[in-house]
Amino acid sequence: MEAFRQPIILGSLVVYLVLCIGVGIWAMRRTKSAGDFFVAGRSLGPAVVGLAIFSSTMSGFGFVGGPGLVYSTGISSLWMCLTSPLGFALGFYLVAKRIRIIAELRDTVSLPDIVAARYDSELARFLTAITIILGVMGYMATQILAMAIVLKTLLSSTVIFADISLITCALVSTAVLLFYSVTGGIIASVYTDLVQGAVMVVAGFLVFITAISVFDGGMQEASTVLFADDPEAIMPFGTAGALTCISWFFLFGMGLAGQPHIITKMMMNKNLADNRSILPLSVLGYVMAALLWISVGLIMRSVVVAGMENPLAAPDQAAAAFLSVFAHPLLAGVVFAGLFAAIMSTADSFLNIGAAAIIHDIPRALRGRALENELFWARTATIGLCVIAIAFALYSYYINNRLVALLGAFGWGTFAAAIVPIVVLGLNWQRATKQAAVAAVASSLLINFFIEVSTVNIPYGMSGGFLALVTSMIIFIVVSLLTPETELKPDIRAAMEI
Amino acid sequence: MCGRITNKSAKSERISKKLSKGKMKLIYIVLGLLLMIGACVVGVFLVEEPAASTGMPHATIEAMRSGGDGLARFAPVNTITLVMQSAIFVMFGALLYMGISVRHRTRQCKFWITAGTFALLFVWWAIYGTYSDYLASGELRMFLGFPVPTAFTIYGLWLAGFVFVIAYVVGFRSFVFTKQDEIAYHELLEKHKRDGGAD
Repeated sequence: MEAFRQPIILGSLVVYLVLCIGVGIWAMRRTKSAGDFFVAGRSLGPAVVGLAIFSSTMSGFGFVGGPGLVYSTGISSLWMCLTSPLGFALGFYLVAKRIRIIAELRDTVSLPDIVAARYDSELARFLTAITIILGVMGYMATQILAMAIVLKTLLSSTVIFADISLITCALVSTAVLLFYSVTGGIIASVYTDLVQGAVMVVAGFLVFITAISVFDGGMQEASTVLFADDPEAIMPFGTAGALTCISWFFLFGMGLAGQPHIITKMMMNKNLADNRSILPLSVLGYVMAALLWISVGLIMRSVVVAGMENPLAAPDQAAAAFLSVFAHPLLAGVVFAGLFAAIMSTADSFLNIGAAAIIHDIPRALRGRALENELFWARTATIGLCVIAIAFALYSYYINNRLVALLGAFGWGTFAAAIVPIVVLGLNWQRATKQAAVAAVASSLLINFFIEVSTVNIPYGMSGGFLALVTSMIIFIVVSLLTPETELKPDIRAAMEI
Repeated sequence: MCGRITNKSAKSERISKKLSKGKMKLIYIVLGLLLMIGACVVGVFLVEEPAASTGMPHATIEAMRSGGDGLARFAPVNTITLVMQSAIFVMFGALLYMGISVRHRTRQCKFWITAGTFALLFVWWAIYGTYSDYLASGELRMFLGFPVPTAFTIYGLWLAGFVFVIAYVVGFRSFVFTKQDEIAYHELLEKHKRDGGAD
C-alpha cells in the first residue's frame, strides 16, 4: 500500500474534483434566476445549510495555517477555534432568525440587501458592498494561492508532472472552482460544501486518532516533551502570550457572526424552524474538523522537539509533513481531498457574495435598481472576480506580496469590525440609526487600513482586528444614541419583534 | 369597530415601546462592557512591555517560537487580562440575551443564559487561577493529556460554549422561535403579500 501512496493521494484528489464538476452540472439545471444563483431560492434543508455554514467557516487556513500556527506558537492559536461553539451560538441567537425573516419579506439575495432594508439607507448598502468586495479580493487571492501550492506539491512529486509550474496549478484548480461556481452558483456551492464538509469531518476525526497514537503515551507524552523544551508552548496561552490569545478569542468568536459568506447562508434554509438543527450540526462539524488543527500542530511540534523528525522549513508544512510521515496512504488521500475541500468551500462562498456585491448591490445603491438579466451578469462577474484573484495571487507570489497583504487586511477582521455592529447589534436594537451604520462601517475600514499601512506596534501582540471591532461597536452604539431615532418600516419592525 | 382598531393600535404601540425599552437597558450594559474592554486596552498601552512579551525565536529550531519566562511577561498584565476576558464573557452573555425577543425572556431562558455565562466565567477563572498557581510554583500537573490550565482551556472553553448551543436546541420552541412566533411570522408574510410587498 505504501508504494502506492502518491497515486492514491492523486486519485483521491481527482475523484473529489470530478465530483465537484458533477455537482456543478447538476446544479446548473436548478439555477434559473438570480435568486437561485445567490440564495438557492431559500429552499435548502437543514443538513445542507448546517454543513455549508461550517465548511465555509473552516477555510484552508484551518487545515494548513492552523496546524502551522500550533507548530510555531504552541497552544496560542487554539484560542481562535475554541471560540467556535460560542461564535456559532452568537450568530444563531442574534442573526439567523431575523435575517431569514427579512430575507423572505424583502426577497433579498445578499447581505447588503438586508443592511439596506434594515436602515433604509443606500449608502449603508454601498459601504457594505465595498467592504465585501475588498475582503473577497484578499481572501480569494490567498485561497487560490493555497490551492495552487498544494496541487504543485502533490504533482511535482510524480514523474510526469515533476516540472509543473505554479501558474498551471493555479489555472487548473481555479478552473474547477470556477466551473461549478459559474454553472451552479450557490446551489453548486452549498451542495459541494455538503461533500466538502463531510470530507473534512472524516479527515479531522481520522487524523486526530492517528495523531494521538504517534507517541506510546498519547497526548500526555507529547505534552511532557513540549513542556520539557519550553513550558509556555504547552501552557494555555502558548508562546504568543495571554493578550494575543484573548484578542483572537474575541475577534474570532464575535467576528464569526459578521462574516458575510457565513451569515448569507442563514438566509437560505427552507424553514426557519430548521435553525434548531442547523446550529448543532454546524458546531459539531466544525469541532470535528478542528481536531486536525489541534492535534497535527501539537504532534508535529513534539516530534521535531524530541528529535524524531527534522525541523520544518516553514510552519505551514506541518500538515503535509504529518501526512507523509504518519498517515496511512488512504487517510492521506482523504485529508488532501479534505484540504482542497476546505479551501474551495470558502472560495466558492466568497465568489458568490462578491458577485452579488458587484452586480446586485452596487448598481442598486447607485442607480436605485438592479441590472437587467442579473443571472447572466452574476456568472460574468464570477468569472471576472476569479480572473482578478488569480492575477493578484500570482503577482503576490512572483513579484510583491504587499498588495495581497493589504487586501488580506480586509479579511476576517474588517468583516467583523464592519458587519458585527450593523448586523449583530442592528438587527436586535431598534434604536440603531443609519448614521451609526455608516459611521461603523467607514471607521472599521479606516482603522484596519491605518493599522496595516502605518505598521503601528500594538503592545502584547493584540490583534488589530480586535481593536477595530471594539472601536466600531462603541462608535455604532454611541452614534446611534446621539442621532435622532428614525421610524422603522412596519415590516422591519415586526420582523425585529418576532 | 373603529374604536377597537384604535385600542388595538395603541396597545400594539405600548408593547412596541416596552420592547424597545427592554433592549435599551441591555444596550447600555453592552456599551459599559465595551468601554471596560476599551479601558483595559488603554491600560495595556500604558503598561511597560517586557522583552519577548509575544515570545521569541526558538533557540535551536527554525520556524518555531518559544514563550520564554512566563512569569515575567504575564505579571505586568495579569489583572488586566483577568478583567478584560471576564468582561468579554459577560458581554457575550448579554448579547446572547439581547438576541431573545423581550416577550420570551422567561425564567427558563434566563436560567440557560446565566448558566452558560457562569460556566464561561468559571472556566476562565479556573484557567487564570491554575496558570497563576503554576507560574508561582513551577509544578506541572496533568489532566487528560494536558497541563491542568491547558486542559481547562481546551475542554472547558469548548464545553462551556456548548451550553448555549444546547440551550438553543432545548429552548427553541420556548424562547427562540415559538409556535406563536411562527404564526406571527406567517401572518406577517401574508400581510406583506397582500400589501403588494411594499417596502
